Amino acid sequence: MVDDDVILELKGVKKYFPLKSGLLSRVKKHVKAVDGVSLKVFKGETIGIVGESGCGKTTLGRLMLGLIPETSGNILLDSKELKTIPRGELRRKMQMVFQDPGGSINPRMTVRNAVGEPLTIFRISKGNDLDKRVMELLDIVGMKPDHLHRLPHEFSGGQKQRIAIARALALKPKFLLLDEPTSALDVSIQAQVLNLLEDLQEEFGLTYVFITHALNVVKHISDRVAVMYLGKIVELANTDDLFSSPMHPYTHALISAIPEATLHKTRQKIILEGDVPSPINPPSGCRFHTRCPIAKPGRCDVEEPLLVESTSEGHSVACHFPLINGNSLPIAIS
Amino acid sequence: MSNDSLLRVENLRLHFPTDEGDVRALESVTFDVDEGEIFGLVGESGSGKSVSSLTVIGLSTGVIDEGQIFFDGEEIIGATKERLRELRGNDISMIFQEPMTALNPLYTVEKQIHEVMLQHGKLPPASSAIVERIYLQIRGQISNIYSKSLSILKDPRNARMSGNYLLLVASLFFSIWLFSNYPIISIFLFATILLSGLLSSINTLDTEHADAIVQCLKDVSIPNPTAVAKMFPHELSGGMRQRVMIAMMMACEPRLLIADEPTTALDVTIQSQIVELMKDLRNRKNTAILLITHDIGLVAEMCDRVGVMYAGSLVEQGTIEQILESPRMPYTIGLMHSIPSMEETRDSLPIIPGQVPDPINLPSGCKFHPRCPFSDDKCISHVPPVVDIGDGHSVSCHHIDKTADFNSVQDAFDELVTILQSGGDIVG
Repeated sequence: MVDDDVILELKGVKKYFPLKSGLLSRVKKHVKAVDGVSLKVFKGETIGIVGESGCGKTTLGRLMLGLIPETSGNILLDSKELKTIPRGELRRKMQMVFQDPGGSINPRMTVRNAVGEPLTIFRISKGNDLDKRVMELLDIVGMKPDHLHRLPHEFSGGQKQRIAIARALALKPKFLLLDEPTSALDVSIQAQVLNLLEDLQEEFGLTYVFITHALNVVKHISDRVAVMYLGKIVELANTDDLFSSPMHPYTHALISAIPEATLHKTRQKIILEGDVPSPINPPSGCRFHTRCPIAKPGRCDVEEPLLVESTSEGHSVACHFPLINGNSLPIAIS
Repeated sequence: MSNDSLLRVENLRLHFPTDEGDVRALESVTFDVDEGEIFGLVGESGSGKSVSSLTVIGLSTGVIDEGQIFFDGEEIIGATKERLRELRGNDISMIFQEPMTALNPLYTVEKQIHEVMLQHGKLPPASSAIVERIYLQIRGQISNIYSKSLSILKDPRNARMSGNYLLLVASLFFSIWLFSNYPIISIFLFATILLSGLLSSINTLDTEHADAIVQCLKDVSIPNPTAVAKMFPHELSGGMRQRVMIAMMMACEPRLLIADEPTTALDVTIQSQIVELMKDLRNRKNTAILLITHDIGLVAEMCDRVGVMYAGSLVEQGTIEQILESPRMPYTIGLMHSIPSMEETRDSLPIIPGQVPDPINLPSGCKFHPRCPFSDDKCISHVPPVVDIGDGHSVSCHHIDKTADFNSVQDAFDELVTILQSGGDIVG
């Protein structure tokens, strides 16, 4: 892909949250939520960001939207510095859908007001015209016109998420950030929402950044996947490459840990020892070395691996000893 | 169905009365769990899986309309509160989804496990009397202070290690001043301090007990159990908390462990650790586990037998092989298809149209009929009976004859989706 197609670019983005303590609230430590992430998002693609809780995936999403300022690094939207773009223009270009639709929709606003609010704020339409536009939007997400004057509590979780999606689409953005949009939904409803998102992408040529911890969902919906661990991207690849031949030991373990609803297991299960370390004091060298079954002392705990493109095209990995072609992990002893 | 099963729930019907009407949480639920077996109850939110498990240990607040629950041949519904208290913990234990809310944030891990063991009389005999322990505690404190002050006297730089000693010296001077000026007040003060010291040393555990607790923690593979025993819940990570919960529940060696979404709040890599741990416990101690979850993948990983719940009814039940390979209830089939798979890639996900019904206004007849491609008049008017189709595989459906082929059922679902969409009806 050529660089003209890049809609959003992150260059060495860092976000440290200060931890204040002591007599005069001095900043003593930092939570290194996002610690040097570089990523290009191309037009029309779906890029999945996966990782366990506390790996910084949500913070990264909020940085992409300009909701929080970055500590250092650059974020470019259409080759323009995100910080310099006026807020209004920014929101017309990028919108978001959050995890809990019950929490992201005002319970006292009718569907008309909730979905129509962006249109009112930007003075795009009002009155009857607004009704018409909102009805169009509801139709797009598969809801009926008579839902227009109802309140959020009258809807189920899946329907609320549809309303949230309709609201995000109101300003016709090109970029949509989806932060765990299906985590709060039941399986049968999750499938409906995922299908809807795919249809919308095709219809409006949307670019999605899909943040989730569910690897099976990411595999289904994404074109490319970035795996995060403790504030860094450890592996970035096309979805098929990543799932068929993961190169980072963490990715490998993560994929093998997903319980699958089949009996014939071809995958060998790798059980990682211990917990994710604290992002306040991340381990030296490679951040995964404390849990990695193939870590070599003297290298992995000293030298930090960089995210470099490997032999196959577009497959980047940050590991000193990447798993190449069928090299699998030794099964860790728990 | 064997008569000698450990837990047997028979024809359980239960509702919660509310102002808007009765919430029909359970409609004739029948299942049994054998000794040493892992039985899974799967279903979406509101399907009644948690209510079933709470009723088993007598914690449900719903009104039981009919049905019986037998634990080891003994009727649980209608048992006295005292008997239920005896059963809970001793024979049946439960672990919950969110370990942080289930653990008391004010007490150390050690103290909480101690309480459970004390309540159920599972503590080993104490090696020392309370007086002895208090004496040891005080002697330990004094020798501690003595050795610290000795090291400070030897080398004053040692004092810098801790600001507390400055405070100690200051308070020493203060107490001398207080005693010389207000002797009565100071005597009261010292007595109080001494008393609170005594009280806190009563709280220290007997060494035998502490060892038993450490052994419990070791059993659930907690690294460094002696240190963890002295920690508070907030100092532990989610996976560790869940391990502590399991250790606490296993402390009394129950025969049945009810696990209500034990790994939902945990990350996948931690989840697989907990799954291995629970399987290992079952193998070592032959504990039966009733696993409540919405995750079919987890069920496939852990369970021997599965029951699928929908809107308060147990719609299908069988061994894990039967349910995963040849499900016969349309709901089960649709559910399995709609999970994004790790192994195959599909363009769009097959879906079940519609949504889970409102438990106050449950559909008549088969609860699944508004979403089912095969529904006809019979489905609307009659609740389908539970039919055993061989080898303990039971299904509750009027149209078992149409559901033998896995893929044709999904085609029927897809057709229904198209019909509903063209009719302007909302899907979901």
